[in-house]
Amino acid sequence: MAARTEKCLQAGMWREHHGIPFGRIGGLLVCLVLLGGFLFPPNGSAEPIKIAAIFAQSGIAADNNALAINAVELAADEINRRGGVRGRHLALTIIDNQSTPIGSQAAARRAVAMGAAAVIGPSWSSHCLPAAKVLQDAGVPMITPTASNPQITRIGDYIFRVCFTDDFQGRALAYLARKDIAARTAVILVNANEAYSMTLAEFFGQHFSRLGGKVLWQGTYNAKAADFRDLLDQTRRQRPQVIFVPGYARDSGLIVSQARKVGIQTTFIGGDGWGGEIFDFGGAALAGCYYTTHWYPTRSNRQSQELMNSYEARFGPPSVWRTIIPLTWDAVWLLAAAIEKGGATDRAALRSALAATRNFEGVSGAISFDDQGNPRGKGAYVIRLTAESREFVKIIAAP
Amino acid sequence: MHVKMRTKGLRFKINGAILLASVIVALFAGSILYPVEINRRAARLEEIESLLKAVFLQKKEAIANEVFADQLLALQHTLRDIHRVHGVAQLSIYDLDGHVILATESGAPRHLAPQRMARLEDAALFHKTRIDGRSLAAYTTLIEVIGERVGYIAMYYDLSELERESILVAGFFLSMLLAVLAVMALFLNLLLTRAVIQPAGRLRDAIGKVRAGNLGEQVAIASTDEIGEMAADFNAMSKKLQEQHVALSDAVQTKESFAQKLAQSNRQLADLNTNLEARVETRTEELKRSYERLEQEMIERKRAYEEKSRLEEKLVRSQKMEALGMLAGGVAHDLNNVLSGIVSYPELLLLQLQADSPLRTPIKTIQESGQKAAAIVQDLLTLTRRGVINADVLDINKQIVEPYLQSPEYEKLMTAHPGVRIAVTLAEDLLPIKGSTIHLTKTLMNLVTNAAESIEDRGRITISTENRYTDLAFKNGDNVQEGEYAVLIVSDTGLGIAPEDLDRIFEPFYTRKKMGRSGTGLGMAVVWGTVQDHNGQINVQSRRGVGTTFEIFFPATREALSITDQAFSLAALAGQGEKILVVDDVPAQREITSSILEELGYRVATVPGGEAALAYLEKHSADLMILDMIMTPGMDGLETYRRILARHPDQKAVIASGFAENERVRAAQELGAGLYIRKPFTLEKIGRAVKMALGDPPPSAFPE
Repeated sequence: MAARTEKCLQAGMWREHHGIPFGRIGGLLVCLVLLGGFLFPPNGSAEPIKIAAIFAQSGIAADNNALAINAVELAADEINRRGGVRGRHLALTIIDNQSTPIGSQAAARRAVAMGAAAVIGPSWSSHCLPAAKVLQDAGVPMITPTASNPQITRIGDYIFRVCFTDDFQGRALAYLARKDIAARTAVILVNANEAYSMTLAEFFGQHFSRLGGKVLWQGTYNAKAADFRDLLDQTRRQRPQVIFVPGYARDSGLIVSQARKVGIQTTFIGGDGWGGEIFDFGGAALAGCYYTTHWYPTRSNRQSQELMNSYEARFGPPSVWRTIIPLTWDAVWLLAAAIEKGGATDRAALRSALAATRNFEGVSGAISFDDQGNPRGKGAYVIRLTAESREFVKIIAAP
Repeated sequence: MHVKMRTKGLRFKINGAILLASVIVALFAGSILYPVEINRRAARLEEIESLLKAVFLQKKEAIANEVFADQLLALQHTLRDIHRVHGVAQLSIYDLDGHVILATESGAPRHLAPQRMARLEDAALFHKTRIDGRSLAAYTTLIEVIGERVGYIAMYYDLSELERESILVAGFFLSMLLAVLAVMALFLNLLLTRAVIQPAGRLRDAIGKVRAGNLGEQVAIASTDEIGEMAADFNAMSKKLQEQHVALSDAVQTKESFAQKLAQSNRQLADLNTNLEARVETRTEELKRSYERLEQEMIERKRAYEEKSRLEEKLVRSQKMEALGMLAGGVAHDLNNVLSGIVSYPELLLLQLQADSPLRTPIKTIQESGQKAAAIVQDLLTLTRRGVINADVLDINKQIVEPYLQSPEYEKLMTAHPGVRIAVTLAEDLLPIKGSTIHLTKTLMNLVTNAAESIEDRGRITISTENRYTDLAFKNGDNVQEGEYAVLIVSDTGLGIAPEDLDRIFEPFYTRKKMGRSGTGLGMAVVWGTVQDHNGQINVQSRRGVGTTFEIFFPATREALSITDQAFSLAALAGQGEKILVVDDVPAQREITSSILEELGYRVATVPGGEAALAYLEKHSADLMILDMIMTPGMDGLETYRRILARHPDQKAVIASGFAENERVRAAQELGAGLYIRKPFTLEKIGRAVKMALGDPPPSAFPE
């Protein structure tokens, strides 16, 4: 569907700009299809709404973001199936940010250049920060499904997220560590490349200390690192009671796995960056570790059920139901709702509509934006990992 | 040495060439290696640049995003990662204003100059620099990703290793080169020695040998190069020389042998010739000799025949003389005994007389008469050869000639012949002879007398003596041997002797002179007899009207002059009362002898004969015996002495006899009788004889 949509866009562009022909017959055929589509639209005859989705299609975050792309496509298609928004279909464009901040900046600029009404994504905080800057300056609303770094929405009022922020997550994790795991000492291993990791670590440290714990040491590593032995040696020397790894699935999984290999049996905890695919990297070593996340399949509501069915119907069941799917789904539907209210042509109106989102019934829960653009009351699902699967522990409610 | 120098020169030259080649090779190698090295360095630098570039590109996205997102920690990590790359010394990240954001070390510039930043817009910079004394290569570039410029990066690479590398490489290649060159030089040298110098040396030696004459000398050079060819040629040449030489030698040899053979043949021929000649000569010689011998034989036969005639004559003469002699002998014997009284008593009487006694003269006259008669008797005896001659060693000059010239006889003779002059030439070194002074004086006297009488008016007589050595037999000679002779020569300028008389002059009583004029008629006979007794030889040469020369040859003796030269001294002859036995059959003789002996101081006993002597000696002893030889009847002296000696072996004896020395006397002397004295003997004679027999050597006193 996405490919077709892209091709339609291209054809449209061709129509508009007399672009490069790619075979007269092919072009003609496309034109005919488009004409058909245009002449016999299922519903609505207005110009489609350009929506840009900035995700990592290459680079380190590509795996992680692939599900988001699936989700965004699924959502857009669903919306369009239902007749679009205000009689207009969503024309979705996926822009690759190459998993880098600079790439994200470039992607955002492209989104602006293409005249996107709004942007869904990026997913990671370090990607969102430069993109948000561009989009804020350009006055294009941006909804990130998963980025939890608080700084992102502070960039401007055009920037929104549908997940909790790291200051809450950090506190929750500190609580978890202090109270539930009853650790008095902790070591934090930070992904130096990811703003998410650094911020979450900071918040955790603060709250952990406030709760009476002591952060013995904070080690850093680079995102692309694969050998964490030095880091772990130093960690072991600290002999913490808990080790907090606010990284993404790959690096966190590798850390835990290697830690177990060198004999560190301490409980690891992590944030929402871990995600379900951490098993790909950590394997059975992850048994006994905890992390917080936004949603859990078995604890979901009716909407999540529907989403899962649709998703499965289209993409097959994912190995792990990762929160990025519902969050991205929610972001798109939320946007659609806002467009419904405020229209897509006036971006300021759209922004206002977005900002005014109250009790949107998302898969990941009810979303009401605060004045920052952050959803209120999103609780943290505490998940415990076993050798092969996950277990829901509890939800730490938001204040 | 010269040649050796040359070989050294060859080696030197070639070594020089090798060295030069090596230097050229070295330079060449250097000229190649240097740019190669330069290129290598450039390439290394390029490599470094590429490496830094590659490393940067690998990390560019991360760095860019980290710089972009202010992820300093992550940037640190990234820089640390880059720093781990071998050779990366420092890294510096600059923002777009050129200020350093992050640097691994201080020391690098903290700002980028705007010009540099401007240049970096176009391309990355790569240049060499020094920071804190370290030589580094700096790669500076713009950090841009997806068109987003985020800053600059300066990557510093440590060049010290590169530089060390360069030095090592240079050193390595240099040493390699030197080693190779050394090995090459050594190898070439060895090769050269083996291939050139040694063969050349050997060739040179061989040439030297050939020059020294050792033709055919071969040199062992096995190589097939030019030297080998030269060697082969040399060998061939040498061999050829040798062969030629040999051939030549053979030819010469052959020729020589032929020549030799020819010479030999010639010699043989010559020999044959000479042989022939010699043989002919020999034959001739033989013939000649046999002819000569034949001649000789004939001569000898003739001579023998002549000799026989002569001897027959002589025999006749001898017989005649013997007959005469016998006659004379008989007379003389009787006379001798009678004369002893006339001779001896006067002497005694004279001794007892005083010097001025008037009796002296008459007694002296008696003595002289007696002596003269004795002389005649002696002469007669002499003819019979029964006289005994004393064999004293004497000097003719001093004891014959000179005394004679002092004698009264001589004076008288000269007075009688006033027209006669005497010339005397005496050899100073005249050899002594053995003989009797009396006889020889007589001889001389007779000769001189005859000589004087042969001169009618005026004339000269020459008396001379000389030594002669003769090895020829004389004319009249019989039994004359070679030897030394003392020759007495008496020559005159008188009438001479006719040849037919010459042979007969020595006959007794043969005289041309008037009978009774002088002499006894026996003068020449005496001379002749004396000469014979002295084993001498007399030569006569005469010419009528010219003169006559008598030469008398006396065999010389080498014995010292005898004691009889010494002067007589009565006192010396005095005895000491020794007992002497006189044995004589003649009573008068006994008396004389005993008187003389008593006068001399001896005790004397007399016996008439041999038996009586024996009987006497049975009872008495005698220190000495005076023994007469001829005693009749009864035993003669010899027999007596024999018998006495048988009983008294130590009995000393002196033999006294009227006869000349003969065999019996000699036999007695052989028995041990000391001396022989001849009767009549003088006091002196008997005294000496007794003295000598008794063993006292008579005193020697030389007359002046």
